[in-house]
Amino acid sequence: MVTVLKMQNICKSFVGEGGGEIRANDNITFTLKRGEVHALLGENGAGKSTLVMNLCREPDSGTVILNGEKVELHSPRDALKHGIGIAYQDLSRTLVERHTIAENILSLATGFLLSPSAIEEAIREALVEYDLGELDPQMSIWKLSGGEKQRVEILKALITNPDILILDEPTSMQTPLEVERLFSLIETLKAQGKSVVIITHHLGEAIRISNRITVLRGGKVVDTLDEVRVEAMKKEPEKGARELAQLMVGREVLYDLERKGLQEGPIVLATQDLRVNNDMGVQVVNSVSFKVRGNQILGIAGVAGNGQRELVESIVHWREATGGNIHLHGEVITNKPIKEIRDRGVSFVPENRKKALILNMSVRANLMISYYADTPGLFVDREAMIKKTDGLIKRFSIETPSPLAPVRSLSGGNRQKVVVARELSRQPPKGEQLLLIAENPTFGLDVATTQFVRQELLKMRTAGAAVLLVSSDLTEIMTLSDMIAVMYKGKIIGVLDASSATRESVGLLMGGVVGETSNVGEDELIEA
Amino acid sequence: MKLRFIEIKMKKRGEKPTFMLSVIIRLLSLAMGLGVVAALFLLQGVNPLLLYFNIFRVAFFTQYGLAETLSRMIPLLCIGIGLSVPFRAKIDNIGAEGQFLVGAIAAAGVAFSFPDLPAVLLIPLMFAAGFALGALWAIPVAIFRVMGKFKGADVVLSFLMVFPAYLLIVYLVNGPWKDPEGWGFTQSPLFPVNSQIWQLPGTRIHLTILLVLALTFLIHYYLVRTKEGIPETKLGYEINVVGENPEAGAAAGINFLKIALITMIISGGMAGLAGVGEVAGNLLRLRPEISTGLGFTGIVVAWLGGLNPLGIILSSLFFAGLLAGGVEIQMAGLPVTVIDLFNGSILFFVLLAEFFMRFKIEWRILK
Ligand SMILES: Nc1ncnc2c1ncn2[C@@H]1O[C@H](COP(=O)(O)OP(=O)(O)OP(=O)(O)O)[C@@H](O)[C@H]1O
Ligand SMILES: [Mg+2]
Repeated sequence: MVTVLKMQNICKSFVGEGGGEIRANDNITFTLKRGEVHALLGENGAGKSTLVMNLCREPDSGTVILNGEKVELHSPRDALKHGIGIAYQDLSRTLVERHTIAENILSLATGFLLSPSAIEEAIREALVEYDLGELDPQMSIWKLSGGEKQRVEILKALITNPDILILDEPTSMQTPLEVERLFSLIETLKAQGKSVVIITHHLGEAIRISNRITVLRGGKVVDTLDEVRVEAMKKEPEKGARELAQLMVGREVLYDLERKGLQEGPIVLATQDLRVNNDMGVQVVNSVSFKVRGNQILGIAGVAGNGQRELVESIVHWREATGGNIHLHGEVITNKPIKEIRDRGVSFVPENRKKALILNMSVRANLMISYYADTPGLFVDREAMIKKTDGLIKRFSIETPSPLAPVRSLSGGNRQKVVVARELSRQPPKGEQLLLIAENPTFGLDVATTQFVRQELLKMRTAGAAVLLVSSDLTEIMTLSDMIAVMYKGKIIGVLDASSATRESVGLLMGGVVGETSNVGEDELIEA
Repeated sequence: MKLRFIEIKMKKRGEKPTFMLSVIIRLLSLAMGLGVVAALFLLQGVNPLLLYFNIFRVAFFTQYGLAETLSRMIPLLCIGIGLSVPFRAKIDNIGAEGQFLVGAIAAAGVAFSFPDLPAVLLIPLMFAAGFALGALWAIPVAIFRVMGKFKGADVVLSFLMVFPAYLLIVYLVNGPWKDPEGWGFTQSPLFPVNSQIWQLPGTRIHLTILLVLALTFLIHYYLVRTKEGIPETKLGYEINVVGENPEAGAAAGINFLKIALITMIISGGMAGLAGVGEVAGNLLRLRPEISTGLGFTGIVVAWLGGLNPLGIILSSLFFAGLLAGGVEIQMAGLPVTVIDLFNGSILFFVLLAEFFMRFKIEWRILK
């Protein structure tokens, strides 16, 4: 097969706060053949995004060779002109929140699609052609869920019909169904002779979809697995994934989680006929009742966009509950001030990073936000904060040149680690259990860190916390939960005991198919 | 043939500019502001270099001028420091002028009501009243900023509230507080002796300067200075958070209304203090034109100083020097109001500099 793209001896460094140099790409050589899918793997901060970004900004050194010719690509527009479509990872940088989908895509148009109505038409056609699901071109970006935003970003990369498609973590927020669709789309593109680079943390996905795999670690290429080796992995994906993880991390990755059988604790959180509207004022949580106990993980499964986000946001009063009640430790907290709710021992790892992180502030200042008010009085306990934040950085191995570096300079996964570290380490008030609400907590995290976070969630469960886990990752739900509630169209349509639930039974419920097993559970959950 | 031969790109800076860089960018913007005004001087047939030199010489190297510079610095520093606090939380108080004026009114009201109180009681009472009224004048701005239905509600309201303050002074000095021996001047009688703030003999530097420096230090120490990236107080931290990302602040449970109220009370109160000092320490009378735009100049002072107390001390000194050396402008045959030109053009470039600290421009020639 012909090589379409070759990146040769690419180096790219960043200067950290305080002068330290981060070699994000250290002499990387990467080739892409025509008609292949090439997966790029590596831990958080390994330099994957930095590498593909070199296709729309100049690296410090090294050459980019496209179809045998040396090219200089200075901007995303240059990349487009050369037939390279890129779906970026950091959507806050590439999608304009206040604009509609159509307007965001219009920004790419170079003469051929200038009117908004033409663009909308083109988007609708493309959505059908590429089977990217339902999206309303006139919808503003800020109203979309994470997964929908990702699909817009993919559409943006595809709509110019590029020969080379680069997808930086396109599936981290997608449902299994959408991932399937995307993969069949990739197969089609491949058959048309196009080439695809895909960055992902799901090793199984990588093995399934790709022809070759390149693994990065610490800014360097560890290995490129050729077609034969990847083909061999396809036969034994489990073993392959372990092998890849080891390549990425450089040591054995802990795969099996420790999960103790525990006595259920007291009821920590209970909702009653909870009703919540979405940003457009449509009621998307329709009379939801459930409860979570101490020492218990309640997993809420469901296809993204069925009201999960609104549900959890209303519990911490990021969003108004329009009806029903929320009880914490038996007391009504519905629509109480955020601070009051959090002070009663509620931790929240939201999917919405914009509200969780202050990009221009330091890692330390971001970690502090959940702790600085723990001591009474007007002053910040500086010593304690330094100790706390340094400890969190270490324990969660947040990769940052210094605690004072702005979060903006961290890789995507390390940003998420900041939120997770902060929220998973809070202490409940004396004698009470912590309520931890985790909304897709492992989005964008590498294998090792994902396992680490899951283990931490289990540790919190052991320590007595009540955990409400919302995840569109079925594996995550199945491995962590004690009880599984499935949300469909704003309702909990079934509750299963995790010991008896199967992927199939949960999957059916996620699609809205109600069987008999579920109803029993639901009654049980609402009563008492 | 290619029409585009140069490509210009605007990029967000990944990291904050270093301290040195931010100083250099500010100095450059200052130089550009002075440059624009210099061009106007040239048009008037005045040699700008000579004029600048003279302003500088008079303001800092003559005894009279230096004393006048320090005297002008008192209200500017006080207003500028106060303004920097809400500015850091992204609340736009442009109405310090009004808050300054009501501070002066409060001073006059207290002075005329209790002329027989001993100075040690009367003067602190005047400052307290000035702070309170200035803060009161600022509180609606905070409320509009938080509850307002449109962006910029704080800007509009704070500006509009300048006028009632001004008209109130006009009414007072024409009515209840009219100077009976004023020969028709619209002014109040001289302040009672006990209410006059002590001045350094032979100058107009009044004791308020100590108060202002103390407040500057307090704000620097408790709200701004960070050690290991952590400010001294919770309030200081919360102001930073709200200023950088109000949504994240709200999500973490920080009450924006509380922050807006506190910062606006500090800011309005300090403008009020400046008003007290100005009438009781310098002018000794209430007149409608007591301010000459100090409240607006204070905005430029705050931004040029990088919203940082130490920087604001320098920038207030600079603008005070301009005001004090302003006599030279008159000597050159130009109206004194030319000083406003400095304010405007320097503010323009300083705000532009803010932009350059967040973004960088890259350009290259296309082949
Ligand atoms: N603009 C920047 N300024 C400073 N450092 C940066 C910048 N962009 C990336 N880095 C650093 O470069 C390294 C590589 O980052 P990169 O985003 O390429 O990682 P990644 O492999 O994509 O990780 P993830 O899986 O978390 O997205 C990280 O240590 C990151 O902190
Ligand atoms: Mg990345």
